[in-house]
Amino acid sequence: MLKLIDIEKSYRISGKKKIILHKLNLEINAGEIIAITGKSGCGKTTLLNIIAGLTSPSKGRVIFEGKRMFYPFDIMPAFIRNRRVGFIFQTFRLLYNETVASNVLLPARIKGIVNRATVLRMEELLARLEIPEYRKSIAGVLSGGQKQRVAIARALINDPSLILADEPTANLDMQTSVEIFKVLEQFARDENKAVLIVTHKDYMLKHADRVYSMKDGVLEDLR
Amino acid sequence: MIARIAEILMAPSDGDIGVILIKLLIIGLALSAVILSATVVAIAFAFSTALVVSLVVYFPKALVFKTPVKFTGLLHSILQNALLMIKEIVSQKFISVIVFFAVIISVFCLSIFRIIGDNFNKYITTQFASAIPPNTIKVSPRPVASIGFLRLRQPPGSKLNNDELSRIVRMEGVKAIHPFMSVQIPMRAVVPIFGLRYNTDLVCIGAPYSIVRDDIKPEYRSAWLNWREGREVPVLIPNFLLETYNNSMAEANNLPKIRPETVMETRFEIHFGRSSVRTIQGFIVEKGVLTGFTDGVNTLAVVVPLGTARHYNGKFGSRGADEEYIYTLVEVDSHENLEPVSKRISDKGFIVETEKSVSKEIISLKQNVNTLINSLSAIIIFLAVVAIAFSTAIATLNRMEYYRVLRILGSSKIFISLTIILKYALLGFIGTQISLWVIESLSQTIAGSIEMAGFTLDISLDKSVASTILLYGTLIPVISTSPALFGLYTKGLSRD
Repeated sequence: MLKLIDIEKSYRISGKKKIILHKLNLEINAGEIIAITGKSGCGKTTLLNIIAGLTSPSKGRVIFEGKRMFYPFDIMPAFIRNRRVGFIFQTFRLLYNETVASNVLLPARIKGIVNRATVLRMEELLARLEIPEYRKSIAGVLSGGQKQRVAIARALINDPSLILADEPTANLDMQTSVEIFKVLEQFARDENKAVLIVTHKDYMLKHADRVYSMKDGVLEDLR
Repeated sequence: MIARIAEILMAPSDGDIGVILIKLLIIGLALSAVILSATVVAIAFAFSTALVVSLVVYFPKALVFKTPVKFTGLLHSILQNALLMIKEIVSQKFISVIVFFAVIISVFCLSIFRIIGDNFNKYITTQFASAIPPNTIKVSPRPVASIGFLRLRQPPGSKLNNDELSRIVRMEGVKAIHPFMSVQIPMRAVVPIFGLRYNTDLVCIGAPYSIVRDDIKPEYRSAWLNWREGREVPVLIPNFLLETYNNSMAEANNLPKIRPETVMETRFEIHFGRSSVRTIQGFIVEKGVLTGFTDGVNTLAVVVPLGTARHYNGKFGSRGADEEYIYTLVEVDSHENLEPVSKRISDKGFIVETEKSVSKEIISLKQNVNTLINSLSAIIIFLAVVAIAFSTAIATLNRMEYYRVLRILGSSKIFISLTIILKYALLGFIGTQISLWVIESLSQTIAGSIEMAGFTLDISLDKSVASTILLYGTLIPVISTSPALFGLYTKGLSRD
């Protein structure tokens, strides 16, 4: 479903070239849960940015569902982010002044389709995530775990094939972290979605299908 | 309409609760109308931009991903994009209101300063500086001294005739001359008003085409140049005469004030050789038509073509009347020649005036006041730009997280940029337009309430100035969004 071939990413910092990702290769298939761990600043978030098309690689190719990613005018990356990729963040990145429903429906609105089917999908997701009663609540007043559930619902509303989760449970307690991971795992298995998760939590590393460690811009296969 | 509303609101209410309630109702309705209009404009802009964005993005997407192009899909896309844009427009209400009012107040202050400056210059020109253009000398004959009916010997420079004009035009440094001739015969105008014939004696001056050309309505310029006896006489009214009439005679006699646009092309009779005092046998009645208003002739006389004045002076005037001029404007080829030519003409005995000689003090005052007004305008522009730019920049930077979320969830940079630009363009455009509209609408009420003898306040902005203000009023908030747009385009997704 997703292939990263010889990906390199470098930045110029104070005139010096700094390589963040070095000849990185990765293939992700549908239904898989892949975990990546590594120290801060090793390039994990840059990798997620490249997969989502938020930044372009300095070298190499990104093949998404058989199509090579091209970046001019942000048209293809925006399309892929909207329809094929769902994001989950450590800091949730919700619109805290808006309702849960408004947050969850935002990707559908950007897609240009908000109809009965979309609303039913939202209701189904909220029910599966066990927060149906918060549909009309303001997102800002929810607990951390509830906010992350809303973020998961938002990530899934357009039925993406890949979920990118950047330390989704770093701000949550152990029990909630396990619950959130179980939800993600369940969606990956039930709906045949690939999940790429950046995490340091042992529980998640233990339950992922494949685990990589990132060091100095290189992925090392741990399992 | 706004002027009428302003009049009603400014009328005394004398503590009458009914009148006060009506005034409050009017204010409420006016505010509602403004808000409604602004909302309609905003929605229209949002849908237009959404249409453009959808067309720009929808088809390439369909092409790249080989998805079927559906009309309903496009409509859905337009609708959802427009809703997102409207959501952005109504977001951050408090800071948007600050930007909006900063635009309104800045434009209002700037326009008022511009109007004050223009009116001051106009006032100086009308009241003090005569109508002598730069690099031009006004040459008049010296009055002849007399004791009763006994005229003393004519001194040099007491007659400005064709011979003298030809001597002046041959002087070194003289570029052109523009002579004016007073009509030295009895004259009368008969103006039809509501079926009545209104008679009035006339004082006329013949002016050269070169001086008044731009003031004559274009279709009558040829008539002015090629006038012959029996043809309609094109007539100009000096603005000075019009203002004097409006502010003195009309006021004193409860007559209606004359507005130039309502009397333009009025036709009337002109009797050459006949007035209420004297009639010359064989006087001639010509048809006259009002073809414009002029600042080029600063007198209380009606202006006719020089050829007309010359013709009737020759026909009914005293001997040589068709060769004598009341004054002439002498145009020099460079500013350096102004003084030498003035001196040579003055040496011939004529009275010379230049813009410089009119009043150095007045010109100095004018320059000082203009410098003050320009400095204050510059300060206001600076403060306005800073206020608008900072409010806009803060508003957009505060919203960066929302824009990033939109981007992560699949909005393209083009869409987000257009959404931001649209919002601040709308704030600037509507704010500026409201300011200009209020100034334009209240101009007559304010101008009418300030009385100055011989001078009419002109509280209106030139169209080109208004367009420039509208352009900058719209552009400044848009340009101020650039820090946010820069951040949007250059920064990727950070973890926080």
